[in-house]
Amino acid sequence: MKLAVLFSGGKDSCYSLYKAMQKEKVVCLISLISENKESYMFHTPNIELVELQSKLMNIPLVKTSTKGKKESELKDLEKAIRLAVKKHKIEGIVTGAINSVYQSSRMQKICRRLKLWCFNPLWQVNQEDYLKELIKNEFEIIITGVSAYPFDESYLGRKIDNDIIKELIELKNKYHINPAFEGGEGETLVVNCPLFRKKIEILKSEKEYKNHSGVYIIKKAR
Amino acid sequence: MILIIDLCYRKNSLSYDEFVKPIEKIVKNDYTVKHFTKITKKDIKKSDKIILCGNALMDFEFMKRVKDFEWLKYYSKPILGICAGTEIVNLVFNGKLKKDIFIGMKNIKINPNKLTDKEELEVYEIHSYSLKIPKEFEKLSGNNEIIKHKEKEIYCLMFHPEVRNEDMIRNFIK
Repeated sequence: MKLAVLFSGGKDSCYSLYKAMQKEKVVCLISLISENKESYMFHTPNIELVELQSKLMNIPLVKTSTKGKKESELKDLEKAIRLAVKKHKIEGIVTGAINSVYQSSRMQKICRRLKLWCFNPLWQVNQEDYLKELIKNEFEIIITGVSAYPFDESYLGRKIDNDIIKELIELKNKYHINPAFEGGEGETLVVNCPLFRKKIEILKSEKEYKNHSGVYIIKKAR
Repeated sequence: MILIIDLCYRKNSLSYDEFVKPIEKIVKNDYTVKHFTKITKKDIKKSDKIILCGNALMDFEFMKRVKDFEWLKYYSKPILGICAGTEIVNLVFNGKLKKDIFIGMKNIKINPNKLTDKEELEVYEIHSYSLKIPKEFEKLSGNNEIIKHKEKEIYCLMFHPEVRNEDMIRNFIK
C-alpha cells in the first residue's frame, strides 16, 4: 500500500514513519507549515527543518502553509493530502497520534472523506516504554519547545536520553504531565535516526523562554 | 488462556499496533494472539475466553470470510467483540449491518452489566455500520452500542473500550 506520513519532524511522526516503512511503502511526507505558534493540530518550532529531514531520508515532501486557525488548518491539511493523492497516488495516511482522540478523529474523518486508509501505529502506547524504545532504536531527539509547568529553560535543546526519561517519569508522577508530551507539554525534533543518511548538525540556535513556555530555535543547520 | 483474534487486513499488518497491541497491553498475561486466517481448532479448544479486536475503517477483508467464523455460534465460553469483532458476531448470528458512519467520542446511556456498573459512558467510536441485532441478542444501550447474547456470555461493543474504557476489558477477563 502506498502511504504518506503526516510529518512534523518531531519524534512521534518520525517514529510512526519508521514503523510504517517496516510494513508498507511510504511514498511521501506531508507537512503543514503553520503560521500560528499555538496551532491546534500541527507542531511549529523548526518546522522548516522537515525539508532537510526529507532530503536526508530521500523521501519526497509535500508541503503547504496554513494560517493555523482551528478549523481552516484542517481544510489546509485536506488540501495537502489531496495534493499527495494526485502527485504520489497515496492510498493511506500515517499519523503519530498516541492518545488524542481530538487529533485522531479529525484525521479519520478526512481520510474517510477521501477514501484513504488511516494508520496510527503509536496509538495507546505506554509513553514510558515508547520513550525507551526510541532510544533503543537509535533515535536522537532534542526538546525544541516547552509549554507547561515545571519545565524551565534548561530543557530547551536537551537530548532525550535515559536520564531525562527518568526525570519525565518523576514529573509525571508529581505533576501529571504526559512524559511523551502528548498533552502539548513540549515539542521535539529528531536530529538523527536509522532513516537519516547523516546526523543533522545544528550550527546556530537560540532560546526564547518566558513563564514556563519557550522554544529552541534552530537558525542554521545542515 | 485468552485468545485474542486479530481481524486486520493481513497478519502482522500496520494496523496491528493500533487495534491489537492496546488489547494485549490491557490483558497483560495468559493470552495468545492469532490472525483470523490462522486460527486452528486447537487454538479454539485451548482458549477460556475470546476477544475479537477492531480494525481500520477502510478494512473489510474479514467480511469476505464470514463463514470461517461459524464456529463462534457453538463456542460456549465468554466472547468479547470490539467493533469489527462485533460486526462478525452479529453477521454469524444472522444479524444485519446498516450503513452508519460515526467517528469520535459519544455519550451513551447503558444498562449496567458484567463489563461496567456505570449507567452512562463516554465512548470512542469509529465505524461504518450500526447493528440490526439477531434475535438471540438483547441491547444494553440505545443504538446497540453494547449488545449481549440472551443466554451466553457474549458481549459485543460498537466502540473501542481500549480507548478511555479499559476497565471494561479488565472486567471481561476477570
